[in-house]
Amino acid sequence: MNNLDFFYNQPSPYSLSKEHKREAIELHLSRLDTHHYQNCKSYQNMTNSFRHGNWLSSNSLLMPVRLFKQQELKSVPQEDVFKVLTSSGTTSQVVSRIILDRGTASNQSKVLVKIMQHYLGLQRLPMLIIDHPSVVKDRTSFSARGAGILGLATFGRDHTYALDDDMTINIERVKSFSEKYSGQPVFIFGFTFMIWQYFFQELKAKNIHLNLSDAVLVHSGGWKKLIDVAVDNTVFKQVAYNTCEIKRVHNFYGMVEQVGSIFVECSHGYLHAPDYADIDIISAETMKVLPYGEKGLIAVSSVLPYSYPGHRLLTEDLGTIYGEDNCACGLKGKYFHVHGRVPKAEVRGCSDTHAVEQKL
Amino acid sequence: MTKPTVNIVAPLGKTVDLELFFSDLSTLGQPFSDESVNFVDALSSALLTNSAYKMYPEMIALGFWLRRANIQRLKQQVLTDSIIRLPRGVVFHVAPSNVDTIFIYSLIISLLMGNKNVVRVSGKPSLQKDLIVQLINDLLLSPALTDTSANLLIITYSHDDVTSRYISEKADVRMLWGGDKTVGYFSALPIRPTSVDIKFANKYSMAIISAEHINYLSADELYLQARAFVNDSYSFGQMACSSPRAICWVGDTSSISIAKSKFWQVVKEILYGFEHELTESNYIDKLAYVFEHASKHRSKLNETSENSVLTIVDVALSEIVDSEFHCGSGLFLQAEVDKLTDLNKHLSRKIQTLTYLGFTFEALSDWIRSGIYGVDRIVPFGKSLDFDYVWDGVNLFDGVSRIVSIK
Repeated sequence: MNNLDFFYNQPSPYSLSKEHKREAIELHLSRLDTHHYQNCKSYQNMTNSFRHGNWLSSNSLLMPVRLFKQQELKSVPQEDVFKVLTSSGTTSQVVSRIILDRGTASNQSKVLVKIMQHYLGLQRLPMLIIDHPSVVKDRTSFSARGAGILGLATFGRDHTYALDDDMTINIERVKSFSEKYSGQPVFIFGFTFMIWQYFFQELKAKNIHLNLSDAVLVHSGGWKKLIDVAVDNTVFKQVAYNTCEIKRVHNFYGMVEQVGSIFVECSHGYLHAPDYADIDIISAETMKVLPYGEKGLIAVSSVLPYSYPGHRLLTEDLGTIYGEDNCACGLKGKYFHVHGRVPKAEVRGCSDTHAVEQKL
Repeated sequence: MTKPTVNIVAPLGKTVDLELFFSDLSTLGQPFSDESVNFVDALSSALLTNSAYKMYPEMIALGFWLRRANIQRLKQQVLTDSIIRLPRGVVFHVAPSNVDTIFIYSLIISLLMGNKNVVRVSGKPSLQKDLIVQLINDLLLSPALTDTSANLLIITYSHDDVTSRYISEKADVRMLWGGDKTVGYFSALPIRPTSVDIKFANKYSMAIISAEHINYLSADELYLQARAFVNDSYSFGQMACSSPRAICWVGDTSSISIAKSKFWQVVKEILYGFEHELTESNYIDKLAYVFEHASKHRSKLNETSENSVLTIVDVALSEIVDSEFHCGSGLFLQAEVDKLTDLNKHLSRKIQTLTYLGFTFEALSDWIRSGIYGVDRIVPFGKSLDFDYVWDGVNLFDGVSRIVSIK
């Protein structure tokens, strides 16, 4: 069993100062190391492989996140499997498969509640979802988008979908939502690119101005497509304000491989590690931890993954940590920015697999 | 048939009627004509004297291969009094998009034989490719090279079946670089019954090292060999099909153990100052590969591996060939045998080059006849990337010529 009471008993998900956190989280992660080593054959083989070389430490083995796309990794008996999360593959059609037992799934929800309540309050708020309703209809196969919306929907009531099935904005529905809850706090959620493309851009094109000044907008899903059109967090927030008067915007960084312990953007524009998770920046060249202020690969750890060995992961995202416990927003924990994916290497070699695959 | 549309990269500024290009065979030349030899020589001089190419070792290597002396040597080997050798006709070269110079070798061989040539190069930007195409364009301005100019067409076109099919139906030879996928794609497009394909499949290459030999080498000799190995392996990010991706150590366990640690130590030191082209993305690919391999095959990362540049994985002999997933980027699968013949059954048709250290020519030539299904070439350390007109077991001069007998 994965007992997280110590963390749940903290007054907020950003309570632990660095010395306490280091001790608590390392103790917990090393228990998970042992659990996965004993219960996941693949993980055991991988750990054993890194015993000798000095490339990665086998004591706190960072597993490349891609492994979940290549194989099914499971640390609980088959009869305990409760559901399987899959990611929507962005660059390829290969998806991650994350095996959940009831305990892990329940901890994921609990931690998400702790973190979100910090930003939304204890009351369920009227919720505007910037997506179309069918994305969550088929509950047997969870896409990351569907799972994300369902996960966040528990924090809202009167769920209103801003888009129709063909991704066009339903102005009447959106307007009646904003009028109905005018002057009250509401919760808006969607994926970063969807919000930009199908909500903000449409409002701008149709010259519609909404008054959602008491809204909290939470969004996630990566900036890749937006960086391509030169939209960064500052522009995004400015347009949120211009079109809808939204003043509180929280981006968050999370992944299907570590659902629950997400990294939410604070009032000062930095993503924060909650007590349940941690982040390090790793040099790709040496695979060693880099000091604060340097840019490198993001490694994330989380105390939640028990049914699958996803507690220490090396992502393919680049980031910079700016400090720990001393962000101007007042929250404890490391705070950082994400700069996007590691750029793809130029393909060398005698075979043209990629070029031809594109054609076929 | 729909008319194909192509973009002519060389000769620049020329409008070419494709129909006419294929049907007019009056410009077919004589093998090793003065003009073709002069063109190759001019190309060689430019590559070797212009400083713009100095920073690309593969361009310099190309320049050396194209030298007049080498071409004369080839001529003597290819043109013998006993046979009459003539150009086959129109050769369609499909160049790989990633190794920017290799198609030049086969193009030159074909030009020297007197063929007409259509080269499809990738539309992807590549500095080396652009440099060489520009150089060819400059040379073709010379009035002394009108035949060469008439026999050469370098084109790009967006991947479309119409153009590929059109040229395939007109060509006498297709020279298909680019590996399994490209070969597979073009193989589905018909050629004339009298035409031939020269196909270059995906290949896998390895190094074989005599442990005892390494242990005899002086520090200086070992350094030179290790340096040669690094050049063989890291020049194209270990993605050239002839770069060694695995090492098979030959000898008794105790010599191998000593040899390995000596060898890798020197390789590691050389790599600190070596300008490889590996990037973060390569390192991630490689790390993921090592994890995946360990989980499937219980392989072990070797203790020498301490950063992302040099990665050695100890595997069972049966895992030493991984032509499907090996990611290159400085990754070496490593296994041991008592004697070379223990390796025989693992050497499939997929195996191209063996780079060797510490074996005599006699030992190797006896061994290669001992029932081995694969292996195209066996070369000493430092020679893995050298081009030879016999490539993947095929004599390219034979491939682009026809032999006429008169009795």
